[in-house]
Amino acid sequence: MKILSTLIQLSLKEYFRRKIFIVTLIMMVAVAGTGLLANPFTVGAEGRLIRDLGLLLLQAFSLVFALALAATAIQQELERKTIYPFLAKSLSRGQYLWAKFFAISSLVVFNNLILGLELLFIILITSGKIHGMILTASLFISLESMVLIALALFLSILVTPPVTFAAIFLLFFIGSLSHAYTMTLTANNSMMQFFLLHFKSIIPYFDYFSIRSAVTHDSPVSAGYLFGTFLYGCAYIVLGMLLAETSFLKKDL
Amino acid sequence: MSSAINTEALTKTYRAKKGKTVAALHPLTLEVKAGETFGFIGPNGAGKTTAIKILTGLLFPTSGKAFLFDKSVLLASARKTIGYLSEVAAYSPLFEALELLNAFGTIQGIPRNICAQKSEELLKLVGLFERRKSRLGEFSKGMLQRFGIAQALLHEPRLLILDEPTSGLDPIAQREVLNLLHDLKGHGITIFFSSHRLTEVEGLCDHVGIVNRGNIIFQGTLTQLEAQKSLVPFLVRFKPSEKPYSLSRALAEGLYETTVKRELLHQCLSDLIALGATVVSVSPQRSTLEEIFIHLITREQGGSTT
Repeated sequence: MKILSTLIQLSLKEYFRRKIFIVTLIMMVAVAGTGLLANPFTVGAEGRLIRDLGLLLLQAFSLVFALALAATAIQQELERKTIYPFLAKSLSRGQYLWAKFFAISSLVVFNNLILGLELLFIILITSGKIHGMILTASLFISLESMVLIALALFLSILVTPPVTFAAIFLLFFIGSLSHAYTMTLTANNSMMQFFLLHFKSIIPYFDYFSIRSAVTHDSPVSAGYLFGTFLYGCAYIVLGMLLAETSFLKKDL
Repeated sequence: MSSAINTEALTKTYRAKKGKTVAALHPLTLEVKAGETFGFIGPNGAGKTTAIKILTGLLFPTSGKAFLFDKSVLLASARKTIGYLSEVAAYSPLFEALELLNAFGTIQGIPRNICAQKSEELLKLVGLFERRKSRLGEFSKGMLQRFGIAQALLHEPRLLILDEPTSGLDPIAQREVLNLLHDLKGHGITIFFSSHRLTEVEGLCDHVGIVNRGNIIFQGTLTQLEAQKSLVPFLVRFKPSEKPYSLSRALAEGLYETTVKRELLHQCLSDLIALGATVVSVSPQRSTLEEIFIHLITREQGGSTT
């Protein structure tokens, strides 16, 4: 545990010291703050549009941020050769990979919490209400991003960062399609339909993680659903990381 | 004496374009005894870095076995006993020297208080104590290399593996690193370091291994390498009585020279005398270790020596 926590600390320090991280966060906060501009259009449904738009932006930021970090994390270290002094020690490659995962995930959770709090504040000043579910939604967006981080780490060991980024983005798109929409989309191509439906059965269904609609319409979300989704996300994270670890263990550096 | 490094018919093949393969290591069998300072010499592309990366667990061999103190290199525990410095001491430029050294210590399982003390001691040893709070991005190449040595020594390894530690350094920084290694030699640590210059290891190593095209073409002590002078051709200068000896070169008016392998030297001299020539001088064509090294490499590559 001590080794893992030291590696996570090192990765986090490095990310925080890169000015690009702070700049990105400030930009995200600024863009998310534009939700206030939507306020005049929410007559009769105060805050509803802000909640919907805000959570959508939060999800988009989270997805891009997580993918940008995960797709480049290992490849960049390999290119710069900064990985060698670590892996030539008694440290296992699995530990190194998990440390990267936790470090990137921590940053994503941190970012999403800040953006979630900002959204909460915007809703408070526009509608005078506190919507605690915003933070729950931001945590589930973080969980969704963590699934993507695990899968991106796995893929980044096999292919280049741009390919990883594109492939995971496509996977997210396919994984977000509902069954009915998939059927409609591929109605004219039975081969594609067969492939997509089978592919969708093995990849995560990302819509489970989104409680945006419930938060927007003030619908209740059961604790059982949240717990089940949490376990679902964790299972895919473990699967993704096991695949990543297996590939990384065999990789010539 | 136990073996610090032992490789048995180690091979490594890389996949190249169009399905072709490139063999970086042909069966490489090597033994380095504990306590030795071993120079692993070879020209660029000889397979030194590949062999070192296999020893440090960064690459996997295609076939064969490698052991560090009798433990397979495939086991992470085998690497507990080694300190490693890659060809380019690459560290994130955003960390401070002491901060990163402490982190490496924690990763190696050194208790925090001991690690802090040890890190400072090592930074003093490599002459970077004054810069301990500086970020590594502000360090010169030579300073990074010295920091790399401190990092490799932190957990008191029994074996130090250094891949061309002076590569890319200016002569002063080279001298600093070599002096540092010289100091370490007295501490009973096994040092295995690669270089493409024999002169660099002459004053430091007791044993050398010369590698070329993935093969060990010589392994032994420097004295044994000196004995390889017998392989080096001789230069015979003579004044012929009538016509010049075949394959000879004219040097000046009436003076010729020819290069002869040692085993043919006696025959050559007899022939010259039989032809009525006056032998002016007989001298080994090469004499320094560097030249023996070059001779061994060119001979291996099918180079021409008469």
